[in-house]
Amino acid sequence: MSLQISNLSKSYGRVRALSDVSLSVHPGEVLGIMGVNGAGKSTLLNCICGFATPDAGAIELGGRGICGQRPDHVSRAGVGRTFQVPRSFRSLTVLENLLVVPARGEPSGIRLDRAHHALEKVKLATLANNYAGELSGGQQKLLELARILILAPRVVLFDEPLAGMHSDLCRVFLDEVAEMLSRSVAVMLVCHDPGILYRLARDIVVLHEGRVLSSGSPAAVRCDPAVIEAYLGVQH
Amino acid sequence: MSMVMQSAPSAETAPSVRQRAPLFRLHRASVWIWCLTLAGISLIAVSIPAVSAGVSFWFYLFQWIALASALNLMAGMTGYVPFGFAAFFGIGAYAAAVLSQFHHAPTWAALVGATAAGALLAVLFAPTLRLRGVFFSVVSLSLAIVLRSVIVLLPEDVAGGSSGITITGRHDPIRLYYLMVAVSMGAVAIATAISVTPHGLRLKAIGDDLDAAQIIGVNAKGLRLAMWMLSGTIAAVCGALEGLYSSAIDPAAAFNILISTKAIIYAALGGLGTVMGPVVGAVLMTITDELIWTRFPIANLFILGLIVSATVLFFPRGIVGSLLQRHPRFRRWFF
Amino acid sequence: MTSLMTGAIVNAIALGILYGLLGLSLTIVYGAMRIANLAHGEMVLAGSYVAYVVTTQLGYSPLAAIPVAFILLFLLAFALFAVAGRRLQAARDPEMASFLFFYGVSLMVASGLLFLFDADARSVIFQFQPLSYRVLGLVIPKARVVAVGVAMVLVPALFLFLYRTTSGKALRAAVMNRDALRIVGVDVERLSLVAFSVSAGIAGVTGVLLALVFPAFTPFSGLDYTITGFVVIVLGGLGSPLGALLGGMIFAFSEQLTTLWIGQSAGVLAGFLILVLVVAIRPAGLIGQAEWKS
Ligand SMILES: Nc1ncnc2c1ncn2[C@@H]1O[C@H](COP(=O)(O)OP(=O)(O)O)[C@@H](O)[C@H]1O
Ligand SMILES: [Mg+2]
Repeated sequence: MSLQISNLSKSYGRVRALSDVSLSVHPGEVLGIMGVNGAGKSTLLNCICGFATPDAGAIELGGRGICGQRPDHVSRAGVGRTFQVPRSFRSLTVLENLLVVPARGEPSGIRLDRAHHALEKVKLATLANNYAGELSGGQQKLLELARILILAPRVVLFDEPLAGMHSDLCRVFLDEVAEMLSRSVAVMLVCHDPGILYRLARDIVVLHEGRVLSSGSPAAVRCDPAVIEAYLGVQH
Repeated sequence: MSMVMQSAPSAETAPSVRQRAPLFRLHRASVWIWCLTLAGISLIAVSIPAVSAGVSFWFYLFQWIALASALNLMAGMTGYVPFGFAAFFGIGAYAAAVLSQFHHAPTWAALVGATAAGALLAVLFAPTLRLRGVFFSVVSLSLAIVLRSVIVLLPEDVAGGSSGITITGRHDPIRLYYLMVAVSMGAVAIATAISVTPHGLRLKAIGDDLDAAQIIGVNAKGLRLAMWMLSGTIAAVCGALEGLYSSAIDPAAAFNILISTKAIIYAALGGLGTVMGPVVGAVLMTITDELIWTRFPIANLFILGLIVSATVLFFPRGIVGSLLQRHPRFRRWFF
Repeated sequence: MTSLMTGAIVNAIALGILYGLLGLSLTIVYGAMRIANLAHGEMVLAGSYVAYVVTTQLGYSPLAAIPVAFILLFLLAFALFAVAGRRLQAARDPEMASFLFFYGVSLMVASGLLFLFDADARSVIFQFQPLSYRVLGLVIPKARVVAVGVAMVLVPALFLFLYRTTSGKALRAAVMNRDALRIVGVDVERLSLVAFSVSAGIAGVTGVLLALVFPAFTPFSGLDYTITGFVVIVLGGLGSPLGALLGGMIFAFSEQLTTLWIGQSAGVLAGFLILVLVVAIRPAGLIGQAEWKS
């Protein structure tokens, strides 16, 4: 399923967090989103998954409009996301954080098995019976990733998943993304590190003050003078 | 690609565990032990009238178990603390009293009416669920006060006016007591059933982080409404039974905010969000209440206050909640 | 305008400013610390009893009760918060923990008052010279003028404190983000302790003033004051000092005017109905920006 966004705009009071943003994510591909702090990256994800209602524009998932729907409906339609600051359910145990995902007809035994398996993948198996509130920030990010594995969405939105994560754990994340792509999941990856995006992404969109500053293949974006200017001296 | 290979074994082992229903962190035996405990309590409760002259203490004991458990369905499981909880109790009491006194309804009809009234009120008040935190609490309290005032303002032959209603129709107190036992055990059973299924997890997840819960597809609105309806209806039935049992009701007593605060406090002292907590809290506090009322007629309120404050300072998650917090091994046995 | 109407409006202004004061002291604590002080009404009530002792039992002017009430409640609250404050704020849900803790405190205060003063209603007896003023054909008791006068001094003083002093600004900033305050080096623990004690002191003064306006009170009147306080701050907007004042005025006006037009029992109903309506239309309260929506 592909995600198509056209002419999306969103303002908070006088701040234009997004203006006239169009982009699309296709199955089996990574779309990289870049931009300095406050560029509107998180707002874009919030609009897609129903936390914010755009002022104008359309969001289509597999040809069906999902703009303005409730977050749980968007989730059921096949969109999953992680948060910039990880959000786990602190009064549930690590394992329960995965079992809480609605089963949609999946037998409970299989669900339990998949949950254990997902915890092994993200290296949290030994902490299965600890409360999630007791985890470190990086571990919570991994728990969010495991939740995505259980949810198995067709479109995944990652909001700065690697920020503040140890390099070993980055490896875990990158392996999972590779596996999702092999199952033709569409991935939108908001990331501060251009190196990772240049390696993974099929296309990159650079946001700046809510507008699309540049978009295209990593090679094209990398050489775009506008991008170089916006990032001048920061990463290049 | 390597991950694809690794995930293959899971598909093979899956059928072998298909029969094993997950109880999350709980040991399977713990639920059985809990159910046996409840059955034991019911057995004792049922034999009380045979061995004891009065059932009044026991009636109120079970009433508070029911109310604390019902409140916990809402406050503990969704994090919404309804100060106006008394409105449900009051509307149930009034529905039963009006039906019994002005329309000569038998006990069962009065109770059916009270149940319907409670459910209807829950639907009417459902829009307040848009609010949260103190806003929700205070608005729900205001609605309870508004409802009480409306009942006072109604003509005397409709709802008894400000002096209330004295029920002269005959309702066997022992039967009402049995019904109260059934309602309270029913409330605890419902809480148990919700808690050991994924619904319980989902409710806690909503309380922890609403956005994150919705984004994994949890229908927060629907679940919260369901809890609200359940919680309100149980309180209305309690109100009806109490009204018929005491055979006199008035607006000040039926809508007394103490019903809300006591239910909140009993549940919180035991442990909000746990199933056992409200039962433990209600039992301990009803007994304490009874003891200090008879032993220390002057200082009783002071002692009650001291117990409440000290418990909060030293067991901030309630008795059961703090136990689970401090001793992880108990998390497999208590819930 | 009939004189009844004018009377009701004068009453409403007097009550409104007192309700505003009630909300103000409550909102400082609730807004800045997420402490739901369910014993706030009992603190107000304790102030009323101080006024009772000072005037009726000792025979001094009610004005003398004001500093006594302030100091007494300040010290009591200081001791209470020094013992419990840190534990409450460290709780996973400070709102719930403080709610329960202060419910216990309210029971203890109420039973203390019951022990000292019996369950009968008390009223303050005092002689003002003159007993009342005549303004435009209207008789206004001097007690009311004094109460409103004191409140009129106290409210701007509080606003100066909240908006002009560093501690006040820190306190208002705490409404938004406690951790940020900690990082910039504010001693949040001490700030909380002082703010809570000052809030209690003001509650005590409010109690003295309410005793001048309301004829009688019993050891069980506290809960009504607490409820009024919370309704007022939710109406105005949580954590907003100006909102508390506005909320107090609206609550008092709706109560007084409905009582005049329809009757006593409708008067009680009106204030709460207005709260429900306001929150239905503007769920953050009249001038609040607190997060309110689920
Ligand atoms: N809920 C909100 N209310 C007001 N302003 C917001 C809100 N969310 C985001 N903004 C504003 O929108 C702009 C974009 O923010 P955001 O999408 O979080 O940026 P990024 O994730 O790219 O760092 C910022 O100026 C931010 O202040
Ligand atoms: Mg962001």
